[in-house]
Amino acid sequence: MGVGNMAGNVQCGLCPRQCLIRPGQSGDCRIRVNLDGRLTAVTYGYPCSLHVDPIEKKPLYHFLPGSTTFSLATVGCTLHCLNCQNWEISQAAPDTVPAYEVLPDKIAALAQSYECASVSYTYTDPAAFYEYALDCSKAVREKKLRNILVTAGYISPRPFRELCNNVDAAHIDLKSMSDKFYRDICGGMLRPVLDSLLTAKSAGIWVEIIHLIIPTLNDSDADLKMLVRWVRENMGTDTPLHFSRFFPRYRMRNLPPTSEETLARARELALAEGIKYVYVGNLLKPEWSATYCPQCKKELIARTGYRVGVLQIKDGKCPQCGTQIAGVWK
Amino acid sequence: MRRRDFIKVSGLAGLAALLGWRGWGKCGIARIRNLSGRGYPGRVIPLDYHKIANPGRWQG
Repeated sequence: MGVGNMAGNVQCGLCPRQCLIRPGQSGDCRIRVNLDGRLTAVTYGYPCSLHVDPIEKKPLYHFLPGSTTFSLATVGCTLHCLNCQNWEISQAAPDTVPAYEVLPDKIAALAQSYECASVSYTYTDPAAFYEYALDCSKAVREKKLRNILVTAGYISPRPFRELCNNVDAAHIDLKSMSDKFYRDICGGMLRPVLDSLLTAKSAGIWVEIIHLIIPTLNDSDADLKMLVRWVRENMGTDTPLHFSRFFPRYRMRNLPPTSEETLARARELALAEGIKYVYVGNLLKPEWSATYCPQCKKELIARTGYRVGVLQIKDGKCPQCGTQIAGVWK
Repeated sequence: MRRRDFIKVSGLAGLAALLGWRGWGKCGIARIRNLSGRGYPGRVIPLDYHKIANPGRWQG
């Protein structure tokens, strides 16, 4: 995905950065390299992390709850967040990190052998290892398994639409409603992320949104309200919204973990604005990670950490009042 | 800021911290350098797959 010119440079069109890459050099993501005038994804077929995770870890709460997902990542990312929790792989160069050699067909076979219901492209960002994720998703579909994207959505609309056509669910990270936040903290821009959210919704796949609350940077009432209102107006009140607790990592170790009070405030604010399914993550508080019926408030799915306890949804409905609960349940 | 991070920021401050001095950490010089992302002396550590993808860790 890129165009060349007379000097042998190649412009990558995958993410909004549109890197102009000289021969032998890589783009900003470190893994898309101009080799002899040809743009090459050098991590294709070389995942650095392979693991079987509960789907609640992604976190996806309204998509096959209680199932396991075969999770994979290659090194590289289209963003450079100062608070990245997986920076050892997302911000690394491909030659510095050991990797397995696993082609897409093998990924699908492995997922099946571990009895996973789905394959997740996660840990780093599938936007960076796009071609590999796309080919894996096609192979996985042939095995009748589902595909999940866990992404920050920093990708150009056309490739993202194509990826959405081959996956079943996306967990998209909306880090802030401030372009300045994206520029200063993540090295990106806000608009392409909002576009990706809209693209995923229009593609008809299941979408859940996560927002990491970082003390002093995006935790004010005004910030939270703006985000919640955007979600309500553009994604709908049925879209689950996860508030995640920040922990000091990578280049942002100077800030404390998000306080419980802040997370409670965000949760109450989102519920007051009409979002039906609001969750708090990275905090062991079962009442904030349970799914309740928006109509009768009955607890439908109890969760402790990444474990699902009671699961009471019948045919996608609340057994008590019959309200339809948004999600993919089988 | 934890002492280990503090020590990483600069040789002089690190030495001072080892001797028990916490002044720069409190006045924020080290903090600003760390937040801005410049001057961070961390290095890429060898990868431990299971550490990265441990189900007991944070969401993602």
